[in-house]
Amino acid sequence: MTVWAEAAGSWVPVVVFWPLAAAFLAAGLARFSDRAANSVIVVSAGLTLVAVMALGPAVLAAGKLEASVPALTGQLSFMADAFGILFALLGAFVWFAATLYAAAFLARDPARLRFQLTSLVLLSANLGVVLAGDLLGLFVFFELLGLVALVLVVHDGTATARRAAVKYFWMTLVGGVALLAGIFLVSMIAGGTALEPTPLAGADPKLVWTAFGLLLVGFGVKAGMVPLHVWLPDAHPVAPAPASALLSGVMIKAGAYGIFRTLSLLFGPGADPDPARVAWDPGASMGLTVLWFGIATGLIGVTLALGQHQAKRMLAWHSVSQMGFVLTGLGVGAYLAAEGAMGTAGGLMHALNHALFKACLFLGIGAVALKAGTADMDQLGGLWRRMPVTFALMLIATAGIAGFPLFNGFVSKSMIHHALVDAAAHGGGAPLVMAEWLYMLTAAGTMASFIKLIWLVFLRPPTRLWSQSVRDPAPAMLVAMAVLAVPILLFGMKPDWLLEGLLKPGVATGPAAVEPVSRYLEEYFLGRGDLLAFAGTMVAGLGICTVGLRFGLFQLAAPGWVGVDYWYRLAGNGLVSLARGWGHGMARIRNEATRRWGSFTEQALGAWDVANVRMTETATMLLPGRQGREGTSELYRRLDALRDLIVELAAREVLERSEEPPNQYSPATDRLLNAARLVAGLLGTRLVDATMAAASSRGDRQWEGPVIQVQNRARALACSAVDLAESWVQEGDSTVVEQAAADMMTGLPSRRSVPAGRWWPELAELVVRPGERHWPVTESLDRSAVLSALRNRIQKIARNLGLAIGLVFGLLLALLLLLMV
Amino acid sequence: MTALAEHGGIAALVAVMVPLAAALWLGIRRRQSRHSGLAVVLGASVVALVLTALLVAVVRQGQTPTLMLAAIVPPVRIAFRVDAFGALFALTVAGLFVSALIFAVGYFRDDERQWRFYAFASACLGCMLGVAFAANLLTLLAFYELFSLLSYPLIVHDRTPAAFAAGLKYIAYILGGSALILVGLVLVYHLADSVGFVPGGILTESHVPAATPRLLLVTLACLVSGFGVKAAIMPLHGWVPDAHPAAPAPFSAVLSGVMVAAGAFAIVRVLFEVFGADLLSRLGAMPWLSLLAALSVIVAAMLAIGEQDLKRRLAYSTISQMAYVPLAASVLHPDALAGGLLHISHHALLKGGLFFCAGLIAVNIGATRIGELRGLARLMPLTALAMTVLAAGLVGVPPLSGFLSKWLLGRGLLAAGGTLELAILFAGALLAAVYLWPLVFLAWLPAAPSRRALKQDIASRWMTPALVAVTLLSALLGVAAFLPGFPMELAQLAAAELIGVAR
Repeated sequence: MTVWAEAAGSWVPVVVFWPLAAAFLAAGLARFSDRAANSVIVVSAGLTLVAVMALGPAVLAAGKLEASVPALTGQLSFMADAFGILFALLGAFVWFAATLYAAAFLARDPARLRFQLTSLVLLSANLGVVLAGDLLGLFVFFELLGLVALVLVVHDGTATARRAAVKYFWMTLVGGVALLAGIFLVSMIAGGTALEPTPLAGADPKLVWTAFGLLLVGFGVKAGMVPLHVWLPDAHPVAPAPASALLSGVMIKAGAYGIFRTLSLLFGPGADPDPARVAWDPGASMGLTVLWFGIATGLIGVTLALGQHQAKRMLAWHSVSQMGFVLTGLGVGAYLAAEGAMGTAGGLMHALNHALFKACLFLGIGAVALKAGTADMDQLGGLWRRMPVTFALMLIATAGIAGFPLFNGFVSKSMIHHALVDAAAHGGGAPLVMAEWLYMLTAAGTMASFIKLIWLVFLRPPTRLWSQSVRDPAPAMLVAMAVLAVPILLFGMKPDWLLEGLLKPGVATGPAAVEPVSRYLEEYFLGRGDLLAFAGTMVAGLGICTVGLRFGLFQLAAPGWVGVDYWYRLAGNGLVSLARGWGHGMARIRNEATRRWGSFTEQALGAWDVANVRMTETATMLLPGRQGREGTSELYRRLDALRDLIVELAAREVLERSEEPPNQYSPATDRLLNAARLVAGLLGTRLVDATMAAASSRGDRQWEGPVIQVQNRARALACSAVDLAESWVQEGDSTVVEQAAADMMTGLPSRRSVPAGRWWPELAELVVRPGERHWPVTESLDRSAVLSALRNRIQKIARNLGLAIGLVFGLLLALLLLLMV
Repeated sequence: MTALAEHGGIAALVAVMVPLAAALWLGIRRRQSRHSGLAVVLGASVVALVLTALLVAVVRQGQTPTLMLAAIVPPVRIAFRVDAFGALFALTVAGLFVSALIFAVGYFRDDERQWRFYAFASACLGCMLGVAFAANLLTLLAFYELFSLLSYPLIVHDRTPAAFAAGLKYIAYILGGSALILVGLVLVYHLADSVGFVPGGILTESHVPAATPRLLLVTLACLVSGFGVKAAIMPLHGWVPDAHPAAPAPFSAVLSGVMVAAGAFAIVRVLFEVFGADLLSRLGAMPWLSLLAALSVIVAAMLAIGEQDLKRRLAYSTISQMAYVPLAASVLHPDALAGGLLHISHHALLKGGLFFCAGLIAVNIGATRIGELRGLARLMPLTALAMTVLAAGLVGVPPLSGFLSKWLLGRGLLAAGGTLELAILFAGALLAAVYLWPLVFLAWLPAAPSRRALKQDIASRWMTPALVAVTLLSALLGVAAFLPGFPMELAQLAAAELIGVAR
């Protein structure tokens, strides 16, 4: 037996890396034949599924398979137990269906190959996450999964997709950093990165909780846990339908998997709970934390799902909500510890169930969108006649997610419900009774939301005449959906196959008792209580749906600042603009310091008359009036405003000359306008710079004259800027501009007042002085952007700066405090 | 192999001398034969690389070849010693120089004065290897000065006013630093009657009976700030953001990749082989170094975010990234130090590759600002892909090399109890993502409608292979870091030698 286990164990890395290798193979084949590459992709996804299924019996026989390959810092170890296999199985299964579907769905997409290859790489990463044997490997695969999925999110390349991708990237990155920090702390407590119970005896409770919090954030981002879910409703709908199925069906499960391992393994009770060894047991309170996050996630997700009219976006919000169910199950399982098998098994089974029905729903809506041209529920209707097979399959998936008896969702939802009732009875008290009610409310909301979906898309009278092309999609797509729909029914009617076959043996290897799972199957499954609860949910759901549709409640939307998204964005933009502003400010300060240093050198050189003037000025500094530093910055502000005025005048001049109506001018004028703005900006900057230097070398308080001079020259300067821009645009020769700028400088006093021949002040000035180009940062000659737009943007961001500084410092302070305590 | 182990010192000497000789030859022959000159310089650098690789094999067997070259008066000794730390740095230097020279062939294709570049670059390579193999502070200083001065013609290669200004600034900074180092050197000789490098330090109790802590601190401050100019520890970094955009791209790569690292290399040598971990922990100066390094990490990253010029942004990024090395050294723990040393060589390839990208972009589409990168992937898909991978590596995305050095560094910092330093490490990584993300994101956006077409498609035959090689190597260094003779093993060996003896 052990020989067999070892042999099977060495297959685990092969299973993980096989899709990656197949991706390279297909990429090579694609040079010769697109069809061959496509078949290789679909077949290798199928082979992966078969291989994972074949691993199942070996895992059940051996309890746990282990293997390692040399990589990274030494050995990259893999571990397959019943839970890992469960997640691997659901991943491989949905992946196969989605790959099959994508082959037909993206048939006309020029980037199909990129999509399919990325998808195979992601399959590898996903299997790696759930079969990794230590935290380092888990992290590596987790990050790969998160970042490579970006390619699927931006697949369509639209502006919306890009915005979603930016948000997705930042959330993933911040989550990754939190996860890494958490892993570091765990490895500090445990002394290694092995995926096994952390010895908590003697560990600092604050450190343990910090580690747990960081892991929860890291995995929670991926799992779409409120309040870290903000990327999910944007990123999932913009991806093509098969990618949405993968993202919502499988990839967010990587987060759930991580939280499961954190709760049950890293901070779990351990294989042999020894009360003397574990001085305190944080598992229960950690479970309670996850439970409440789960309840909040479910409720908030379903509330926002009800308000959507884009079907894909609604499904994405339901992914948030359904992850709430999963987290609730995992949390209540950890809370009950040895008695919690029903909650844990329910949560895990719901993860599998959700993968099945959510993937099926996304594929179905994708088919509708492909044929009808839109996924907007307000514009669809009456499609059940047109797409009967799609309708039937969607109905099965809907019954699954809404929790109809004999469909899979019913089983997992009622298991979690029973576990909640148990928890309330086992010392949870009134708060958990409330949690149970909120849980039921979420279930009712889900029911309402899906009644709405089926009614609006399929059943209600058609809103318009559908053309002949609106019919069931290609057979491959239907087969893919059917592949997903069959287990929905199967697990709904025969849950014991999964529960007895995979989850009970898995639970049995841990410290928790398996009795609650058997109790569910024997006493509660399809019992009277459960059916009554279902009927209650159904009635409430119907009520919510009817009232909402009748009174237009689903059209309401809250203002932006209610969501956490708004605040994340503010903090992120604030950080960037803080850094930009800092760079800008430092450049200005340095410039000013240079000027002062320059006058210092003059004095040090012994130019007595200059020094004399300085001394007189120093004496008169005591007199009232604009003085010193403030005077200089005031001068800067005035000149800066003048520079803007010159740019503005030049733009107006162009429009006047072209005699075209504003906002409708021709491309040629547009080009000229941009050029004139640039030239005016350049000339203005040079003029301002020179005036600034001249004014400050005369003494800080005598600058009114030069400023008025500039003011008088502004219009003439703007006109000559337009002339220059015209010749620039016509001749394409930028030296004209440079020459003109140089000519302009000849009339102005030189900035360098150090006598020639003295080398050391020049050297000193050189060391201290920044390169000419940094000052001022935004005013340098930018060939690609329109200056004024950029400046407006920066000013707008700068207004948020005060708040952002506060937020950033608050965050840093919080981080410091967390790490110090 | 045994023969090589016996004559390892000679091998080190040859590795130093061959590029210098090639430079001399090219200097005499001038521009008469472009191809033969090129072949000689490339050949010399490859010879140096092979010899360094052989020396790495020797060092891995636990041997430390030495060679006394000249002993004029007691402290004035020119001597070589090849230990794991030196071999690691030499391997990094030689590897990056070879790829930069290959890149330069394409970059300077139409440049009449390219022989100057090859000659000075080759001479720089020889001198930097001399720094890596130096057995005492004097030898190190001599070669350090040499390569610093030889870099000047490389920085001002383009002969623009901006380049001359940047070059002058560079020289002024470096000379100031050198003066400090010289003072430090004299003080060290005064205190210890020796300037040789000994693992565990030469300034121990027995050597310095009458030394006051104040004098020791002054010595330390002189040496660290002197080398800190090169290592661009803030506030001594002023030359970095000006010199990088002015220099031609292949030299920017070398400048960022290994020259700034040479400062960090020298600081580590001084800390652990002149002072020693025990003395340092008693002096109590390390928290200050830690503070300076932490400030450099954060402030330089913030400045990088505000910078719109591609090469300037990368230059600030170098300041930020190289500050990890003093940060790692300052906790005086072998694991952290190993992470820091590993970061030197991993960062060299990543940053070198990013400067290669900047060079390719500047040559092919004439873009030097971040905003102009929009739509790059349409025009130069391979460059955009390489840039994406390298940027991800620099941020620390697994399983690339940048992740691995930060992983080891982070675990080392934790082992040393430096949670605050760990927070700095994470903040630096996040800020790195902030300043590198626009490069990648803009590159993959669809091109703006008025986008001009690819100006030239020249020279990529030499430049692209260099870039691809560096990128693949960066990935390999991460995925298969465990391989024998790879930087990770050497860095751990070196850290054990530097700190392990003292403890």
